[in-house]
Formats: sequence, structure tokens, C-alpha cells
Amino acid sequence: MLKVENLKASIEGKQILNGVNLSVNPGEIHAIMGPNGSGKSTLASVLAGRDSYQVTEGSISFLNQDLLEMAPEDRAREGLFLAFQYPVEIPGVSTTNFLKTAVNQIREHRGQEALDAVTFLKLIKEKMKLVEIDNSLLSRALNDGFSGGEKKRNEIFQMAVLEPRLAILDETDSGLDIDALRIVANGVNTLRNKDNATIVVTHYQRLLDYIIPDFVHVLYNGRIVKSGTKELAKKLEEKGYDWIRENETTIAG
Amino acid sequence: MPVDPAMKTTEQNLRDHFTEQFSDLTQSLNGGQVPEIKQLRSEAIKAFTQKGFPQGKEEEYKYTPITKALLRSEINLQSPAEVSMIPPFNEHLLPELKGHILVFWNGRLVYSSEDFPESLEVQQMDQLGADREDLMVKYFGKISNYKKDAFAALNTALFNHGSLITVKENSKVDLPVIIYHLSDARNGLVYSQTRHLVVVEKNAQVTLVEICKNLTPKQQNFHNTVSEIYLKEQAKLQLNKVQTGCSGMILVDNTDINQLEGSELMCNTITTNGTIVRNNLNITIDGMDCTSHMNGLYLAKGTDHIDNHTLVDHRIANSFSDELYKGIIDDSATGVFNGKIYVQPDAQKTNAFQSNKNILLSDKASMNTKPQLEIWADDVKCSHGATTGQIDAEQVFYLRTRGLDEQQAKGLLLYAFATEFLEHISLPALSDYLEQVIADRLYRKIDE
Repeated sequence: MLKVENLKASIEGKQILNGVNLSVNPGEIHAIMGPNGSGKSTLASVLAGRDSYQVTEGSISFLNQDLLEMAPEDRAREGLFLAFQYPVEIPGVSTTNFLKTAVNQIREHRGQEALDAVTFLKLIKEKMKLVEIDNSLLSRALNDGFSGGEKKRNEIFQMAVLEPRLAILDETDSGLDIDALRIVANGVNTLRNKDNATIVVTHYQRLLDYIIPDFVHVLYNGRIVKSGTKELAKKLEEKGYDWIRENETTIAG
Repeated sequence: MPVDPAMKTTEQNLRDHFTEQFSDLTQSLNGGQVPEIKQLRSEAIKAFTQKGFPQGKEEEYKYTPITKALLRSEINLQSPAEVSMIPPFNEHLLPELKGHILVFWNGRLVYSSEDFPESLEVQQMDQLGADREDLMVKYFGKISNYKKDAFAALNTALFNHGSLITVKENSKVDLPVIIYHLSDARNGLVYSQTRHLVVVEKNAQVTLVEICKNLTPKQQNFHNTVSEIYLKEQAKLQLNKVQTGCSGMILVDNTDINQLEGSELMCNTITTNGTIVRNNLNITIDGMDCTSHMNGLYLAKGTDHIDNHTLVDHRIANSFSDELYKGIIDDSATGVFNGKIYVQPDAQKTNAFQSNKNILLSDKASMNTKPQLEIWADDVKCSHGATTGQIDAEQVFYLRTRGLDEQQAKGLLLYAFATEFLEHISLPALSDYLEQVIADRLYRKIDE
């Protein structure tokens, strides 16, 4: 589904990603872990198409298309979804109205008919239960004045409505209390099926107690230096990222 | 406007021209006017003759070159001819907007509803009954700043047409009073002046709508209007100024509002085009516990120039004023905002807030904004802020990652920015019309 090869990317002349290789198949959950500044969020941003990053080398194919050639909206319409680490506040635009436009853009792209108001509201109601989000929140302006937890739940709610093929959760666990974490994880697990995939980007192992990954990758200095199963995440939790640093230095030395 | 086509017109020519027009007018009025008003006219023309039209250095007009625009234009500044035949005007009115309607065509009244309720009295300035004389003497010219503003002076000296509107004590006028100003330059480029006086008596309530429209947008014309509005104790007024059809116009609107104890004002001004539009909104607060809301939205494109000057003068304690003006400036257009708040020594416990927010859509668009707070009292809460920037790139990116293309994302953001203005308008028919105007403008004109 997703194949990242030797990806190098920089921002304002500073190289952040130094040759990332990653392969994700349908039905899989991948966790990408790493210390602060290792390039986790950069990887998520490049995948979503944020144009402040320059890709200097490498390739990304998504559903057999060249992802780097696609505008952010086309990536979204093809089924890529990024849950933002810091969801953007958009005053004056209600979540419901905006989502209706988004859903219908994606449907149009897929050659499906636009949803009418009634069907759309039915869809919304069904997905609301999934992330235990309140109707009053959705009639308010998008993320405007939402608490940290509300914003993150709203991201997962949007994901549920848009039904992506590949979802990237960028530090979705940061700033969440244990109840919100459980709700978010439950949403992700319920939406999981054999055709879609999820990349969970996180600093901590905590979220991975709720969303069980098939693979765990450790990103360090812009490269994936270690891959393994969920056991790797546990080991990281025990030994800390210093363990990776020491390892890296030994290899480099 | 060449008075003498062989000569290059100067500001002095313009000034002389109007001064002459005044002596013609005083003869034609033939003493049919109250002495006090006659006296006022003379004072006003004196002020105008001395001061002249604003030129380069004049602080209040330094970003808004109206005089230059008038000199460049070929507007016929002769006193507008009588309307000999009433032109069909129905198609120019907003069909859904019901109310008590007055239609001015090139500054002359061509239509007036006749179904005024008992609580509402409307008379025309050129046909005032003797019973209105006291009212005129008491209120007319008392709050207009004709000594400072050349356009107000010109209007005060030369006015002939306009409405005197009074709302009786303890009454509520259910339907809005709607005043249309239609400019039609098909038979020559025109200049017109209207003068309104509105008195909302104690505990009375009314909604006013003023709609200004150029029917010949490719031809320039000049409209100079002055309104004086009095809100007596506990009176309530919603005033909506709709300048959405002003392409090609040089429009100067002086609106002076005086508020007494416990009165409530909501003033909404929207401008979406105009060669030069200048609104002077001056509010004096002369009573305790007044509230004054001022909302503005201006959308400028092409080479249009939209200028809003507002002044709130808190003279008495314990009142509240709140102002939000928003603008979107595109192409080579210019926006100007100047917001003055005065808090006088006696105006303790005043709460006064002001905000001006602008989005520039092009490199050539410009915005001059100047908040001006002058506070002489020590126990007050005041704030002001002005921002000018581009559409937020992070917001656009967020919407694009959800499948909206760049144009839709920007359109949605601009639309949301602009339509906040509509929340203050209590007439659904007007609000719907304006929403359509905003949507047509902002969804279509992105990155073209």
C-alpha cells in the first residue's frame, strides 16, 4: 500500500530525514517511535504533503501512485489521512459543514454521488458514538476553543467519517488523559479492517498498550535504525532512547 | 468636472463653483425656510468656503484622495435637475426585504410607502409641515461636524432633499424603514446630496436600512449624504448601511449619532465596491448605561478604495462600546480604517473595545489602519487591536488534507471570516441577500 524508499527531506536547508525506508501493507498497524527531533513529525508531514518540507531524494508510492507528485487534497481523496499533532483552529467554519464538503469531495473523486443532508447526518451520528463525541461540539467552529482532548477526538472522528485507506496518527496521544486515550484507541481499533492500514507516530509506549502494533520502528537521526514487533516498544520503555543512542554510536564508531 | 472645459480644474474652481451654487440656492429658497436653518446654511457655506475640499496634507483625508478623484472625474456638479419622469425603480429594490420604503433617485424622492404606522412619522425636507419647525430648530445641524468636515459643510449649506423621521415615545416600529439611494448617470454623470434627520424618542425602537446603489456602474457619480440620528433615553436603533452596488461611485457618508441614557445602538456597515467610499460614523454618548455596537465589513477589489472613519466619544460614565471592522482587500484596492475612541474625564467606568482585522489577497493591495484611543478618565476598561495579514497557510493546509482543494479551502476561510458580520443583522431577508453577495464574491475570486 505504502512504500517509502530512501526518503530524504529538509526544511529551510536543514536535512531532517536521512534515508527512510518503510513498507506498509493493508491490514497492518505500524508504530513509529523515536526521541524528540528524530524526524517523526517530519515524516508524517511529508506523507501528507506539507509544502514547507523539500524532498531531496527518494520516493514514496501509495497505492501504486507517486505520492510526491500529488497535491495534499489528492492524497486525501485517494485515502490518506493525517491526524494532526496540533489540530488547527478554524473560526467560523462548523465541523459539520466542513466535513460535508470534505466527504463529498472525496466521494466525487471516487465517482460516487454526493451524500444528501439526511444520509450525511445519519453517517455523522453513527461515527459520533464511536469516539463518544458530543453533537454540540460539532456545531461549533472547527477546533475553535476546543480543549486538547476534544481536538484529538475530533481528529479521530473526522478519520471515522472519511474512512481513509491509510491513517497517520501524529502524536495523537500527546496531551490526552487516560480516558481520552482509551476512547481514541477504541475508535482506531474499531475502524481497523483488512483493507486499511494505520501508522501510529508516538514518543511513548503508552498508546501501544491500547493500539497493538504489528510492527514497531525506531526513528533516530532521520533514519529507521531498528524495526521489530511490539516487544521492541516495551524494551524502549524499559531502557529509554539512550539505549538506541548508545547502539547507534557503537555502530557508527 | 471641468466647469470651464478649456481650463484645468483646480480645487479652487470646485470651491468657487459650490459657493456660487449657494448664492443661487439662497435666492431660490426665497425665505421659505426657518431663520435658524437659514443661518446654519450660511455658517456652513462660510466654513466650506474657508476650508475647501480636503487636500494632500489634511490628516483626516490623507489616505483618501476624494478631491483628486472629483477633479479627475467628469461629473456634472450642477445642481441636479428635477426628476421630470419617475423612472421604473422596482427592479432595483430587494424584493424579499419588506418594510416602509423610501426611494431617492439621484437625490430626489421618487417613491414613499404610505402605510406608515401611527408610531412613525416621515416627512420630506423640502415639504416640511409647520409643526416640524421646532424639531428642526432643536436637532438639525446640532451634531453634524460641518465645521470640521468639508463634505458635511457642503451638505448642510446646499441640502434640499432627504427625510425627517421620528419614532414616537414608547413605541416599536415593527417593520424596518428602508431608504434606497439610487444613482443613475444615463442622462449625464451626476452628483446628488441627501440629508436625513432621525429622532427616536424615549423608549422607542426602530430598524433602519440604507441601501446605496449605482445603476450605471461604468459611469462615475458623486453622492454626498449626511444623517443626524438622535437616540433618546432607552431608545433602540439598528442601523444597517448597505453599500453593495457602489461601483463607480464617489460616496461620502457622514452619519452622526447622539445617544442618551440607556439607549442601544447597533450599527452595521458593509461596503463591497466603490471608486471611493468614505464613511464617517461619529457617535457621541451623552448618557449613562448606553451600549453602542459598530460592525463593519469591506471587500475591496480592482482599484476600489474603501475608507471607514469612526469616532466614539464617551462623555458620560458607565457606558459600553464595542467595535469590530473586518476587511478583505484584493487586486490593487485600498482599505482605510481609522477608529477613534475618546473617553472624557467624566466618563468613568467606560468599557470601550475596538478591533480591526484585515486580509490582503494580493501584493498590490494595501490597507491603512489606525486605532486612536484618547483617554482622560482613570477608571475605564479599553482595548484596541489591528491585524493585517494573509490567509493562514496552516488553515489552508489543514483543509486540504481533508480533501478540499486550495481554492475551496481559501474560499471557505474567507467566507467564514466575512460572514461573522451577518450575525449582527436581525433582518433575515437582508442577511440572506448579503450572504449571497459575500459568497458570490469570495468563492469566485480566488487565485484567478
